[in-house]
Amino acid sequence: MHFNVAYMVLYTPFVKETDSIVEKGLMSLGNALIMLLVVVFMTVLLIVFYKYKFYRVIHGWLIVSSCLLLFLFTTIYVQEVMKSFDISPSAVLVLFGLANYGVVGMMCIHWKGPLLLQQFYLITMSALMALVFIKYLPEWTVWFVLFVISVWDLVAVLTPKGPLRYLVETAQERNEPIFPALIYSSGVIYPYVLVTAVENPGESREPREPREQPTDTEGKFQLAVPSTSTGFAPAPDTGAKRAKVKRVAQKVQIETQSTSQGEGSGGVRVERVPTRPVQQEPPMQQHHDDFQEERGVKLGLGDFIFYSVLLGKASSYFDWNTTIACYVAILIGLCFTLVLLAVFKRALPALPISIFSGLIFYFCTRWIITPFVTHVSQNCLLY
Amino acid sequence: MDISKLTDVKKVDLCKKYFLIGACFLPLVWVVNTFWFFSDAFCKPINCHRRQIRKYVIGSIIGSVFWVILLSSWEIFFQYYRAQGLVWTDYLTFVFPSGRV
Repeated sequence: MHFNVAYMVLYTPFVKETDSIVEKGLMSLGNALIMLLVVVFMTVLLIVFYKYKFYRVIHGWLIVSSCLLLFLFTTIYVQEVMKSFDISPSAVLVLFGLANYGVVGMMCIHWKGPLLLQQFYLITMSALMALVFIKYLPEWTVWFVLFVISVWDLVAVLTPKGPLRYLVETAQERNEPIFPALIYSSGVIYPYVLVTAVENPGESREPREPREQPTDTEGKFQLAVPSTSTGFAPAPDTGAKRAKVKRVAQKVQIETQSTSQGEGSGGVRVERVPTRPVQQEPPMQQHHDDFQEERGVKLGLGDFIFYSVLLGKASSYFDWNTTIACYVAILIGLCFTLVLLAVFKRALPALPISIFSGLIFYFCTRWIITPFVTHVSQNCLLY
Repeated sequence: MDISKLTDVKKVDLCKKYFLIGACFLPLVWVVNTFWFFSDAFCKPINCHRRQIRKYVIGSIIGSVFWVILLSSWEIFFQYYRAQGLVWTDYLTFVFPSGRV
């Protein structure tokens, strides 16, 4: 799509064709830093809005962005898919179907919908966003962007003045969840009991219900791992060149269950067994009655997008070795991050470990493993 | 959301809202409504709330079937005339795939 390329050139202006590696590297680094600046700017903007309680602005921004993703990008994608599969339905059917898909998506993400469908829509949107990045960013820029964004994630979450840490802490202070359209949750519904957990991290166990599963009490710790957040909405008129890129904040929450008091102080394990703390709900509970928060591991959508970008770019070179290596690396990085989360019990960035290990695996596989395997199998030593 | 945690009154309310939203030319909402509330409507012991949910789910099923039939008959009609190469079908085609060599 022509206008997409035009927008991307805005973010990555250094696109001169050249053969010199140094020049390519410097241009890519320049592009990556410009994208980082955009991301930082958007994050700061979001923090400012959040701090001064412009919730409506933020919600409006989110709704516009998800509308854009759900309708415009899906239409473009469907068009491309139909072209490559040689099917040609009527415009009536396609537009009707897309309108339905978009409306159900908006309902599931921003209002109420089946959990499975919500997860499906969030994943699809992240994948679509990643596809946009893969398709329209220049070659080397993608790798530099991944690296730079991971470093930013690390910095923004762990430093004392980091913007994302501020966002998480403010959200905790105000006892609010971070916006629902930004989080992917993989558990079942659970009434929101963040308050007790955050204030008394060691004592946030609800006493057992006699009719509940007798071996589990529950403590809930919110460990938020937000990262960058920017907003994407192309200007409505052709003349204006402003466009803001949106990726959504990243956050990982983990809920732990300790073993019952009868068995002593248990370890911490992540489970999604639904228990219902009916009696000991704090008074805040009533306010959040309609405000139901999912249990289980939560991951921000920005994480999905960048993992997908890494994997998509790795697979675009048509080499199975690199694809599988990156896939495994990302999953292992994610597991490791979750383990660290359980150990440290504080906000941790979800990107760096996975992305760094993915990048290392990708480049090692591409430059070392694949030529080795190719050479060895050509000479019939193995395989 | 997990509807198993909702009270019956709220379930009826949600089912009804989905039904009404689906009535605005949105059969996919009806389909979602059917799948989401099916077990509540048919696989659980009956009471007055479940009767209402059952009503809405049956309405959603009938509505979805109606729309499926309508859309597929339109599409068959369209493709039949498109294969004959009529001009008006060109105006209604969404994309013109160029095919492969």
